[in-house]
Amino acid sequence: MSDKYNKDDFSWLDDDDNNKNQGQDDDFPDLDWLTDIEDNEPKRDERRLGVTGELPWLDDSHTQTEEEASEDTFDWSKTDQPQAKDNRRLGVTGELSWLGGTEEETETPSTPRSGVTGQLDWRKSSFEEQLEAAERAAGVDWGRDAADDNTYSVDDNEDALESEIPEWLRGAEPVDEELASFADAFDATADVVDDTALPSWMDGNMFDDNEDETALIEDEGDTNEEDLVPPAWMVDVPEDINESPSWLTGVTRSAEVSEDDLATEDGLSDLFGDDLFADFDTAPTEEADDFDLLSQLTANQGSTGLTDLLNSTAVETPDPPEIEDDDDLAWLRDFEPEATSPAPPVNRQTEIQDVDDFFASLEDTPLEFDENLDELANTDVEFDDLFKDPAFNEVAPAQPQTPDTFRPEWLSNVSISEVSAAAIVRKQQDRPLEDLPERLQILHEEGLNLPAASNAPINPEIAQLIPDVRDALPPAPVHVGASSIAEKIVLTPDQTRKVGILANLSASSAAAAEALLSDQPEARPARRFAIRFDRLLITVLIALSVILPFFGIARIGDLPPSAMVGGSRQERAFEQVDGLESGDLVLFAAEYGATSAGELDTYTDAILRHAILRGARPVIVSSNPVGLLRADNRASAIAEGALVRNRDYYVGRYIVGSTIGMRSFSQDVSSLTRLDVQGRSTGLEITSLDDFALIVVIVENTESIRTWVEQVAPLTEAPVLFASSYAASPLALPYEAITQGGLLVGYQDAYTYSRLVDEIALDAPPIILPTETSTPTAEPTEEPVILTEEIEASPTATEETVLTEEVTQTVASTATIEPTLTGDPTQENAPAVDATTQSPPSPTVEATIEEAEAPTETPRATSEPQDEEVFGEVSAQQAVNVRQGPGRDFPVVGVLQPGDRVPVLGADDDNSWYNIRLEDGTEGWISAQLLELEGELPEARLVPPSSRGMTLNVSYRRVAQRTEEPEPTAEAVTADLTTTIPYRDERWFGMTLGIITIVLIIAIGNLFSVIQRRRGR
Amino acid sequence: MDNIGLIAGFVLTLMVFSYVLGDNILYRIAVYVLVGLSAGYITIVTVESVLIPWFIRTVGTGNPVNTGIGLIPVMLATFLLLKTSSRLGQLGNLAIGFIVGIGAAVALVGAVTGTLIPLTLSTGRGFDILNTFIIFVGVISTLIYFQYSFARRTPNGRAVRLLPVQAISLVGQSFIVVTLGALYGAAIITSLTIFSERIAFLLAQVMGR
Repeated sequence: MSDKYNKDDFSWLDDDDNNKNQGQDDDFPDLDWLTDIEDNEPKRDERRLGVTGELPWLDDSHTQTEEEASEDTFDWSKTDQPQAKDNRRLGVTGELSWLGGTEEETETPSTPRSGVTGQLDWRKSSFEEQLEAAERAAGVDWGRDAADDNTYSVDDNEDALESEIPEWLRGAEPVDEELASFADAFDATADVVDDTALPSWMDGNMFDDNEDETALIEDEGDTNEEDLVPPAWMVDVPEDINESPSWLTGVTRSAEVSEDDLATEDGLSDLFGDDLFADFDTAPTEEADDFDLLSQLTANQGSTGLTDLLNSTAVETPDPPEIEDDDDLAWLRDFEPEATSPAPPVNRQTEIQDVDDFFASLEDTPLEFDENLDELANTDVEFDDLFKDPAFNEVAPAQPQTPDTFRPEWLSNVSISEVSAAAIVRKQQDRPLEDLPERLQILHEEGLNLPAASNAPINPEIAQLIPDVRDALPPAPVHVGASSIAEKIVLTPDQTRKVGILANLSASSAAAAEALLSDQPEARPARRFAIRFDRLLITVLIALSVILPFFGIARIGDLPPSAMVGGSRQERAFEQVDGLESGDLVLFAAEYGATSAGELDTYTDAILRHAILRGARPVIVSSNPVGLLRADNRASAIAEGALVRNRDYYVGRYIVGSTIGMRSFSQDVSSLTRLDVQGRSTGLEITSLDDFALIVVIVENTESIRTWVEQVAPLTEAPVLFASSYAASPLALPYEAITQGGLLVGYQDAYTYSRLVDEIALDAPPIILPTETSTPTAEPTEEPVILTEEIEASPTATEETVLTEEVTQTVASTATIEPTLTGDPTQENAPAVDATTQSPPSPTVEATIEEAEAPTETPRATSEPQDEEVFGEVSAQQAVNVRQGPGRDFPVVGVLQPGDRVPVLGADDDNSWYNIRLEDGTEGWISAQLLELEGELPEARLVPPSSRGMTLNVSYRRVAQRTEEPEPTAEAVTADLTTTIPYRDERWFGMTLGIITIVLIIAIGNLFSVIQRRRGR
Repeated sequence: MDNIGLIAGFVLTLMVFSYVLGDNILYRIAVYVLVGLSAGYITIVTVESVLIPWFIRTVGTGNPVNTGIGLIPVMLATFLLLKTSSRLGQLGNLAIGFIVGIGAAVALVGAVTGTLIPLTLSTGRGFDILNTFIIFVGVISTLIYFQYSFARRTPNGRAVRLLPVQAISLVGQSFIVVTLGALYGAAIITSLTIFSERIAFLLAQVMGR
């Protein structure tokens, strides 16, 4: 009979083990969560959510169990389960760790175990030990045989075996053979599975699903109940154990099986009595967390738990366990019928008192039982069907209501109380008043001075509408008629109307509301034109500071130097232009607009004149149309009546496209210079930027500087000269190091530059430009016709002027222009040049000559050499010019540096100019203010001034495509190349005084502000 | 005619100066005249100096290839004008893409070849040791001042950096303050320069100088 209990009947358990070993869990999909836990256990991923990560309480409880078991509770299990347990085992397996481990587990702790079987190996050893003991006592070898041949046999000493029958099975009558078979089967499967891992009601189902109750009862034989002895392993369970099996905790809670289910299917009610759950129901800790069960049970040694119930099964007197009204058992509230899902349809008409009743109750279960156990043994029991029961379907993975103490470690550093917005607000504590800025302190003080809330009664309508309105809507802290902020508020009519509505709703009385409204001034539109007297005062002060120097008042400081320091960026810039040769092309970019024209027009004027003085031909371009217009106007003013557009200077096209356009211009210069701004042909054939001898850029902002430096300068070998406004100077200066053309900044450099240009223009004779006397007859051709025209003008003007003074000097000025024309010999329109020009034709030239004549009166030549030379040292702080004669109208013949020591040959009659000799032997004149004599100068040392040279060499190399006829001029013309900066000196003094005024205004304003704040207004 | 221009300039200058008394109609008229004239002039210059020469060189040649090339900008410009349409505005992205993409590429190349490399090579050249050191410290400290990536933030959102970094950042902040102060001061001097030029202009008109 016992043979019918084949091990295959429990193949589901084997399958579990096998599948676990094979990594196949398909047979138990509903237990995948258990399997997954086991599989992933060695990874120890603390952040894993779900079952493992969310149940750290298991670890705590388990650890606590171990610790306390070592003291007084689990001494017996500690020996069997030393240290190899994985405390993090969950579910069925993990929860059983409290029962102790096995030696095998100790030896192979890392062996993967299934959720059910693997963790129950301790039962195997325990059973073996117990069976050995029982065998020794009763001569029974049933367990060993079962393990050997996978069959179950019962020896004759059944009485001894019955002692191993659990108490709760003793009530089954008759149970002799059946219980023995059950015990055999139970023990025989210990190798594979321990049914204690499952709820007992499951065990009941396992045995009873496919077995006919009647047959079972008949086959049970005559086992004597009195002979049943509880197995030693049950006896050895210490009585003081108060730890409930954690598997029960997990499984039952997960399954959420009702109390009735338990009572019906596994006989817990039969064992424990109905009072068990009644006691649970009366547990006072309704708020207790179920998951605290283990720890609380372990901590509370005096309480009784399911272990006591287990002990009660081992003792002979099956007294119902007395469940104390303990919080530890609050978890069992989940078994309350009303709190659980509907129970499976079972027959509950008869109360289950014993196993027979229990089995009888299973008759009406939906499970069909086979007629015999053989069929049962060969029938595959789908364990999954159990979990398909509605009671299981409603099982949800345990979602522990994790309290803060169970927060995963990776969340330990994160605190909502620290990062939430509310927490941040909470942490914003008020700073001490003295730490606040003065402005806030004043505001705080004003806030304290606000009138208190009115104690007037609440509007009855509001009080009726909203009860307790006094608490909800306290009267507004506004004093009517008193000086307050409300009086300063100017409301619009609409705002006034709304205030009236609000006042009616919230004001203390209607009279107060009316008074409030009556105090409001009439809404008036804001004045759009209001004179700010402070602004006006500041403006007047600055304007006066700038204007007064124009009238010779308050001229503070010195004028900018009239010369540039050698080696400076200013001098380098000047030398770049001054070194131009006749006919050189100069790319002139006027990158500024109307707002900067007042500052940068000075540069445009001075540099254009300088270039033209040297015979160069400027080609004006710009990416700013206004700048192009300004430069065009300046060039036209300079060339008025003397220079010819598109011959002596060019105004190119507007460069569009900003950076892209500038890059395009750099790579295709000819397309933008072939035509002028008016769309007329310029006659220029420029192939690259290298055709320019110099590039001059007048800029008002750093953007233009960067554009030219980045898009133009890298593509040419020509030096680039920048003239920048003051505003752009801080960021323009760094580029000075990489632009070899020099850098001019602001009005100061413009002043110096213009003075130098004036000196050149005054020193130089008037430029006599060639005039064309014949009209060219050549028709414009599509193909460019290159004309090379070289004109060399070597005027040697001779002019006689008879002075009425003692000194009579004849100045002869004879201009001889010898044009040389080379080119297409077919051209008949070669310009003819008047060979002789009588100067001065213009007032400027006349004045120049008049001034030039003046020095001829005073100097007196001394032909006798002096025995002793008197030296003088340059006392100026900067380089000074040495001129050809005693006056600033004479040309510069040399430059002396500060501290230079030169021999002084003589002086003029009023000793305002000294005649000196340079190292190279050149004689010149220097202002007496700039030279400190080292001795007395003989009066007779007068050196006649050198005769002014009136030679100008003009050389043009014109490459032109004549598409139009040049305008012939019948007369010779001259160009006035002196700069035209009105009030040049006055502007400088005005700027100086204006800066001083602004600084004073800022200082006084700050001082006044500080005083005002300290007084609290 | 010249006198008319000078007188107009004189009057407009006074109208602009009337802003001292606050925003008024005279000032606004002057500003409108300036803006309007500038816009009109720019339009005329663009048409005469850019568009007409372009069409003459391309479409005006009669060559189909040149004509096609000449019409490409017209097409892109038309797309840009369609940006005002909600339906066809997407077409304008093509032109904008050209502008932005090519502009970025040109600016990048120019910045490297025209500014970055030359300035790097010239740093310290022609300067004494002190200047070179100041430049080095200024650049480094200013860059560190704008370093926010590795700042640690406290729960209340305040960025906290290491003490040495804070010290260097303070130096960089000082350089920035000096730079901005220099720019501001330079702007004031420029304004004074222009103001004095206008005063000189007005006086020249009044005094006949």
